[in-house]
Formats: sequence, structure tokens, C-alpha cells
Amino acid sequence: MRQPSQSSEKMARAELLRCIQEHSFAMHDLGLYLDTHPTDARALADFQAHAEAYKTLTEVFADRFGALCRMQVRDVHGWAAWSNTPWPWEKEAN
Amino acid sequence: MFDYTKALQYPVKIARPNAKLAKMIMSQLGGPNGELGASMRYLNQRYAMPLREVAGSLTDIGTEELSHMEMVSALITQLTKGLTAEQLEAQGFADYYVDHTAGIYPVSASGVPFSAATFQSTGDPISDISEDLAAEQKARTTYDNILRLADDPDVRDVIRFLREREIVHYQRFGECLRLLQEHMQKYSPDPRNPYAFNPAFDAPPMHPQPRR
Repeated sequence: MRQPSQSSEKMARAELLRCIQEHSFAMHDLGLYLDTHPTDARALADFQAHAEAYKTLTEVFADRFGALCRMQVRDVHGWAAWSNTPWPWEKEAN
Repeated sequence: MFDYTKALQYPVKIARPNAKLAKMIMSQLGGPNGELGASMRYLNQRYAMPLREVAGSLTDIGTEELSHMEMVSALITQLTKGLTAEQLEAQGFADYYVDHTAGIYPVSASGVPFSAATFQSTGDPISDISEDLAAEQKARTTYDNILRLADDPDVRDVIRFLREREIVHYQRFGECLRLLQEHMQKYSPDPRNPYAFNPAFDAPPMHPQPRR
């Protein structure tokens, strides 16, 4: 079986990370809105939908490319991936 | 408690280093209207906030500012990466380079180190939230000034995102001010003057019963 090329793997990583960042951002922005509008059930439902998608996608990301938070590290190899892959401020991480 | 997520709030991917631009953007890390001051302002003010929902806004916005600090630092570090000392000097970065090489240290565009004197925490909710509204506009002004000078599309995209957030925060703090004023109208010892007391200091407990 052909292995995916490094560049398509890199693109898949970037694409999944974008998706995660979008859900994370939507969740955060809705959270700010809910702080001052705590009884808005529709905003809360949106918040929860993004939270659910965020949870699912970060788990997929952890399995394929390494954990985004330490809680999702599965084994010692995972810890090495957590600490040795590019940090968010590096161009390569984006 | 804060827990780290290994991703930026919004991607920073700069193709062309530019130390001159890095020096201007540095002000939004360590300058008087920057993200470090913003996060310290809100995260310090929240302890004296008598309304818990407003303390929630300060916590969440203050936390977002930490993410913005990281994005501004990512911009600076990518804009200076791989440049030689000669290139840094040619691009007006020599005075920073002498003390900090290409590391990150919070200073303003004119080189003044970050100071807590750039923000307030008065322990008075109305004063603090009014300061926060002004702070968001000052940060928006600084991003607008940077946008007039920055021509790199990769940089402009990130600066536009950060500028937009200042406007959203301003909106949320406006709502916080309204919540506080409603609260003070209700509990003020002088019905003609809602500002007759400091609800963080003069009127414990935090959630007093309405006057009968």
C-alpha cells in the first residue's frame, strides 16, 4: 500500500487543525456572549454543538498527529510527540 | 486554573521575515495598549468584581488576551527568524537585538519595557469596566495604526483578526457596564444616586438583598 506523501500528510494535519481552531473559536466567542446573556438557550445549544465537535476532532487529531493537550497523551510515544513536535508559535505548526 | 492547548487561537504563518514590521508589532506585546497589559488588567481586576457574571467576562476575556499575547509573540518570532545581525540592523532592529537577540521580551515600539503602570485595577467596578472599554478602543487604534503601515498580507490577516476581537470585547464590556449599573441602581443606599457606594467595598455581602 502506498504511504501518503509527507506533504499531503502535512496538509491533512493543517486542515484538521483549522477545523479544530474554528470550533474552538466559535465555542470561545459564544462563551463570551453567554457570560452576559446566560439565559439564551439557542446560544448555549450552539456552544454545546461546537464543544462536541471540538472534543471529537481533537481526539482524532491526537491519534493521527499527536495530542493538543496533555490529557490526550496515550503512551510514552505520545508524550514525545507532545513535547517534540513544533510549538504553536513555529511556522511549521500552523 | 489554566491548562495549555498546543495550538494558536488563530493561525500565524509568515512567509517573509521583516524585522521592521516585527518592531512595530512588538508594541502589541509590551506596549501601553498591548495584549500583556490587557490580560493582566482583566485577570487582576476580577477579584474585586461583585457581580459573578462580570467576573466571568473578565476571566474569559483575560484568558483570550493570553492567547493573543502568544499570537503577537508568534508574529514577532516568525518575522525575525533566520535574519542575520546585519539584516536585523539594516531593518532597524539593532537596538532591540543588542539586549534580546531575536528572543521575545515585552517592550513598546519605542523600546520602553512593559510596565504595570499602563493599566489600573482600582477595586471599583465602574472605574475598572470603564477603563476596560477604553483599553479595547486603544488596542483597536494601535492595530489600525499598524494596518496603515503593514503591507505583508500574512501579517495583515492576523492583525485584522486581533483588531476584530477588540471590537467584540468592547461590546461585551458595554454589557458588563449595563449589568453593573442596573445592580447599583437597585442596591444604592441613595435612590437618587446609583454611584453613592462602591459595590465591591461598601456593600458586603456580594449578593445583598434588595431594600424593603
